[in-house]
Amino acid sequence: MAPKFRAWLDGGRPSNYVAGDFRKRTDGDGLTGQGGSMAGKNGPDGTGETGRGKQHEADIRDDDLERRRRDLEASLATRRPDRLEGKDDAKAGSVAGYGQALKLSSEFIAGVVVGAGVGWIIDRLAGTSPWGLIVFLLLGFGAGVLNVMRSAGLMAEFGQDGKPRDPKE
Amino acid sequence: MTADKVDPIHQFNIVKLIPINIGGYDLSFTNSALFMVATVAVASAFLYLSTSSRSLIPGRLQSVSEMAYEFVGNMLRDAAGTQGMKFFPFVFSLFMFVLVANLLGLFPYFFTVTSHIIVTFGLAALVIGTVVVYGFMKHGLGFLKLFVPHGVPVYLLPLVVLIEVISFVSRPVSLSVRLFANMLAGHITLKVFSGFVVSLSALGAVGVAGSVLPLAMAVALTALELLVAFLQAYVFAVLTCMYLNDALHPGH
Repeated sequence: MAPKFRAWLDGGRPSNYVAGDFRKRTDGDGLTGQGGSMAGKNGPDGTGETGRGKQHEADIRDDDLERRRRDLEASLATRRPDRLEGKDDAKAGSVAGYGQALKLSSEFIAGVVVGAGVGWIIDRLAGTSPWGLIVFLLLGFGAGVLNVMRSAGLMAEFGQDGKPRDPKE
Repeated sequence: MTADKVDPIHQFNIVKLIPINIGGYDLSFTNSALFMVATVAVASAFLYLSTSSRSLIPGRLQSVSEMAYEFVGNMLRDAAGTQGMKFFPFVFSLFMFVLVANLLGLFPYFFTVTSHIIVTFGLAALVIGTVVVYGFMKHGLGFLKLFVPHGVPVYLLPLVVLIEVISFVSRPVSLSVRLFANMLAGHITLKVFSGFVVSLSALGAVGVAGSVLPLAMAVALTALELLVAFLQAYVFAVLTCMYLNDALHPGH
């Protein structure tokens, strides 16, 4: 945090960072710190600051860019399975809707049936009829809705917390 | 004879071919068992014969089995990562069994193994059993993290965990019901429309002319059933991959 603050004190306003990044890209050598410093020297200098401050700023900008690139890759990795699945669904073509409807309805029915079954078994074993059936039928309804939303892709999968999946694991 | 034509459920009757009784349990070899054996035999024979030449430039049959391999392999890798490939034999066997059983069932007079819920539930129980056993083996009690979503307030946790558990238990049910219901409904519809053709054409010239419509419908339905047979095998395998992914990475 401290070096970033110093860079900010050195001159470049935050709004100029973005413009500098773009200019570096259009120069065609936006790969490393060296390229960044060259761009700083060659590029049109809107702020009129000294070269040393620019160079420092470029290093930090590269660090920041690197971190942001890694973040982007990680967040892309979490989304990739979903997108591939969607592509496969689209491949099925005209029957995709038919398949989807059967899938969603069976997911919902399964939730309700399992809830009712668990409640009935609890009633049988504990003699709490009809409370187990009532409570677990409602819970099964909830589970059915959860199943449907999950298989429609509107809800996170089991135990997911939005963190990127470790590629090595 | 006429009862056969009218009753669309008749095709699902289980017939004992070789009665076997061991210790009071009925272990007879039925027509269902016969077609399961036929399914395994056809799938194995196809894969064995089509890959026996193993040429670098695959022929037609060889490329079909290579496509099946690639298809299931990519599916598993997409859903469960490279680590999931240790389950490849399992998923591939399931996929081939369901696919060949569905396709065999399309032949007239053949028995459809997957139109009985006990068969599909057996397959689904195998899948979920593998997931649970492997999950506990690999992660121990950490596997239970699967039922605890992140970012849920503590006072809601018991309710949410209960719902998640029911949702997990409902997976094999929905997996088996989906396959079974698709096959059952498809075959009954096919039988009903074919029955229309027979009973209409018994009514004379007008009936024969009218029976063209259900005949066209039966042809179209056969094509649809072919698609459904493949699609359901695919769905079964994809969901298996997704569930295996939960066993491999609970809580990610």
